[in-house]
Amino acid sequence: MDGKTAIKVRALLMGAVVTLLFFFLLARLFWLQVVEADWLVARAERMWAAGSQVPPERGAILDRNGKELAKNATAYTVVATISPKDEHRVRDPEDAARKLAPVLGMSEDQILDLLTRRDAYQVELRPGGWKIDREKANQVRKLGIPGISLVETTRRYYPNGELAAHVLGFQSLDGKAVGGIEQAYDQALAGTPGTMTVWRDLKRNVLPNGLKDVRPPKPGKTVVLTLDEQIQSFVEQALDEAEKSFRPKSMTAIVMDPNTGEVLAMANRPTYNPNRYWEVKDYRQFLNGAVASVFEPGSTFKIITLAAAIEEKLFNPNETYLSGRISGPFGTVRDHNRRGWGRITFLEGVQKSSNVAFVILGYQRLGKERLYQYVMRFGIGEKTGIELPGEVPGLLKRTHQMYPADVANMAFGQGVGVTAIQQAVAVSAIANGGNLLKPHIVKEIRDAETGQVLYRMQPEVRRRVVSEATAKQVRDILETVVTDGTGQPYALDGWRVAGKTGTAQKVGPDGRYLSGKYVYSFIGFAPKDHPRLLVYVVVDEPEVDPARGGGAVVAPIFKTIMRNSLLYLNVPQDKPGAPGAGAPTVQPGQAAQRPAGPSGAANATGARGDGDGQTGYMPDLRGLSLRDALAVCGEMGLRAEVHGSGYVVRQSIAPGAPLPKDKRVRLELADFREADEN
Amino acid sequence: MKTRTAPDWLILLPTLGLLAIGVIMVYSASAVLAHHAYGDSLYYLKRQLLFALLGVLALFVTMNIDYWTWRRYAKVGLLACFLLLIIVLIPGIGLVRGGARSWIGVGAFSLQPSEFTKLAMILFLARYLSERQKRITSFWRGLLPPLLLVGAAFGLIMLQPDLGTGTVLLGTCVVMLFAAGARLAHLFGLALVGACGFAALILAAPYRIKRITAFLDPWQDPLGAGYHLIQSLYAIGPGGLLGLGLGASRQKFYYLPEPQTDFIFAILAEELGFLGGALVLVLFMLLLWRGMRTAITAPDLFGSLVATGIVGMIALQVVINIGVVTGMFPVTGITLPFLSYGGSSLTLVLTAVGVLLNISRYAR
Repeated sequence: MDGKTAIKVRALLMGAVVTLLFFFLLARLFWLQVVEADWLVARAERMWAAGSQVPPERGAILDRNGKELAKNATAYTVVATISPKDEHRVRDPEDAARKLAPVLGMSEDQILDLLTRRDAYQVELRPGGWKIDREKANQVRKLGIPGISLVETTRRYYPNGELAAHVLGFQSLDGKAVGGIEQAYDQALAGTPGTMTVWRDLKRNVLPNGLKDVRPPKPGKTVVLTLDEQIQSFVEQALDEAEKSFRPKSMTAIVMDPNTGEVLAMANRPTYNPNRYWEVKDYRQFLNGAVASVFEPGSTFKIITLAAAIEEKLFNPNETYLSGRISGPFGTVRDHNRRGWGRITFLEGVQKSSNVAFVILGYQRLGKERLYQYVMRFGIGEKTGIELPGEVPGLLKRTHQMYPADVANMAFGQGVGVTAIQQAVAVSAIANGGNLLKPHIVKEIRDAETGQVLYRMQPEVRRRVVSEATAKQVRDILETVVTDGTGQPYALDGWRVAGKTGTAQKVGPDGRYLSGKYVYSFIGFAPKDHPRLLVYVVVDEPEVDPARGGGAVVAPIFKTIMRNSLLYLNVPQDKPGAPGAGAPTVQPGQAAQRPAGPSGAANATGARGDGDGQTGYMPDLRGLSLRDALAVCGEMGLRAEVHGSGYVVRQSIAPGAPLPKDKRVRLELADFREADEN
Repeated sequence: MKTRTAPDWLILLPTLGLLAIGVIMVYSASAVLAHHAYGDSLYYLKRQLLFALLGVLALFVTMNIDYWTWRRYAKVGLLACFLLLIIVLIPGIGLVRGGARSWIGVGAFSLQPSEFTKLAMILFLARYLSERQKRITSFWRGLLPPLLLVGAAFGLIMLQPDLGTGTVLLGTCVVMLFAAGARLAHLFGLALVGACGFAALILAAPYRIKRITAFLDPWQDPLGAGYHLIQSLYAIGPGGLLGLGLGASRQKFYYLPEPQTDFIFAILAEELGFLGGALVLVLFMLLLWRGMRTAITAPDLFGSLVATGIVGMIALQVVINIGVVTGMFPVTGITLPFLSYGGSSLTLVLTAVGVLLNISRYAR
């Protein structure tokens, strides 16, 4: 065969081979795209799909009237692009560091270190540029440094700063809940993150039609506290003033509704601003002393001994005993003035806070077992169960470990350790007629979206500790402490206060009492017969002459809190003839119709707040009594900071001015005549 | 005397059809990358259109130049190509892209001498074999001399290194030798030697071992040697029977590197599905069948061999390219004729088809 024929045959052969190969290719293609497609799709999806979590919004913490105590705010993080590969990078790190340092409050070197890192594409300028507020962000923006950008994010914000800091706790910038309600209710507040599945390209951009599945996040629940922002603010203010004057080591104040166990205010000093928690150097400052600190209560503890003695019918107010000192198996116990007052009645003994009287009642008459039983029944040595983290049970020795001296000391409040909340709850039982309650600080938990109430606090009686009659008798006696005894500096105009002072000498590390170092306290409630409020104030080591005693330190705190709160709550006065008792009261919502005050009628138009206090103008409060002024403020959603007593003579926001965002107004009060003269 | 008739429309039409599909697919596959790299999603499309225009022009020119004219220039052409193959290896003149020094740059455009070498070699070999047809059955006097020449070209191309083009060149030449009547025993012997040579080449560059084993189980090294193939399969598989729709590829979003060149068929299969892929294969098949028919009906041995060489070259490239993309062969850089982006390969293949069409005009 010639060349041409050979070519023909061989070309046909090759044609057949090529055709066969093409069928292989076609078959392979069919295999991949039809038969094996599902398997490949499933694998490919794993590569495209990037599940991401969508963080939920954290639930707000509100006070009992719905005012925001903790919320979420927009924040900005300063980010520097530093990769040499990026066209829009920081090209002059020295210049950038120099300009940024003063704005971010960081040193130039610190910033320069971040800007010259080689292991990152972008860096966040932490800590100074981490989650900063809008104002600071604008300052950074104005610098106009190339390569510096701001990333919007959110952070926890506490609109009232230090207010109720220990109750609230805080959420750190990196999202950890520390202390307080934030920590205890972290799970409820946190919410459930949403999930989002998107298909992304290799550069992490979302592919066209790449949004595959979105499950929206479920926002955290709203936690409503029993706290009343206004009362809390009275407390904070009073403690601030005492701190300025007496520089105590620490202070604690609790305001409770003794009938329900609701804590209306709780504050400690020293405190901190949860918005700038990182400024706190000593972490003990985050501790909520009201539930986590144990101290010797001193004489306020005598209320328990007294109630026990009355309940056991071992107390006769008119019976007499020899005060001054008493000796027995427990050694010798002296009254605080060391000499005593001669032969006096037990009622006088209580009024004068005579240790001897309580050794007789507690050690000799009740005896170790019965006294111990009562102390236990009043909840000492046992956690109250309040919804706050870090609560401790206090220190109560077991009976078999108690020597006679321990029993005698316990009868007047020494050698026993309590927490402030324990003591407040124990005395609340006297105020409410004999029931030991579980204290509450969480009033409601609500669904943030629907507002549906998921949990509502109910007053909870742990047990009856004394009878109604006993409680009443103790209240009567405690009133005489204020009218005739050691509690006289704590009396209020307008309301009958019952209470008990306490002065405990501090124990040193060697177990011996330190001279000149005292814990001063007062626990009291009002109005005496139907108590609405119980206030407990503890001041540790104030710089005050021991001769002036706690009255100089504690009484102003107690009285400011109690008086302002009673006025604010519109509690009817039960003390006849007190000045101001007959002053006109302003009913909520009627503020605008009140008779024109000293400054004329025109001002009143602004007082028409619309219930929730979202908008409106400042009413003229001048000339109003504190009670009326507080009523108007409450109606307008304003928080009053009160200075002085009597009638309003000055207000920090001019009448008719728009209400400020923070809804704070400072009121100065003076005697009415003074106001007239102005 | 040879009488000139109309060219074979069944070669021209599939060619233009494939070219049209190719231009569209180059745009679809490259738009994302082009936008990212050049800020102009039309970047590759514009250039490919220009290449296509040049190529079609060349096709119509060669279609009207009597193919035996090339006989005269075969020697000079091959010589020039050898020269270029040497020049391209000089650093500073030859441009490195994708790890191979295969391009000679002229301004914004660049040439790939190895592409042109393929056609020059076909023409030269056709002349050589048609003049010495009787000697082909002899190993030493008939087979070895052209083989040495091809081996030299292959060696130069492997210095770039460009295994894909080298393989196509070698394969095309073997096909031509086979068609010219070389003894099967010789060819099998050569295949054995070739296999040994291949093994040596693989041992010389270890990355080729990985590449070769990777296609068997790409998931062993999904981010390394298996990466290209896996990304290709992730395009083809989800394409399914009907495809995601033109322009809807996901894998072209940075997953599949350079989707407009060697792996364009994967994007085509993803967007147009099995039906689109099959259509392309059928068009190729038609073209190759008609090309083979031209080889058989060519009026002389030279024409037959040239046609065989061109058909063999296109067939090899299609089979290897789609075989690579679908995971049947180890990953090798071979363009898909008419479809892949690239000036040299597109103009070259269109020129070659022009020659083929001219031969078809003299079919008997």
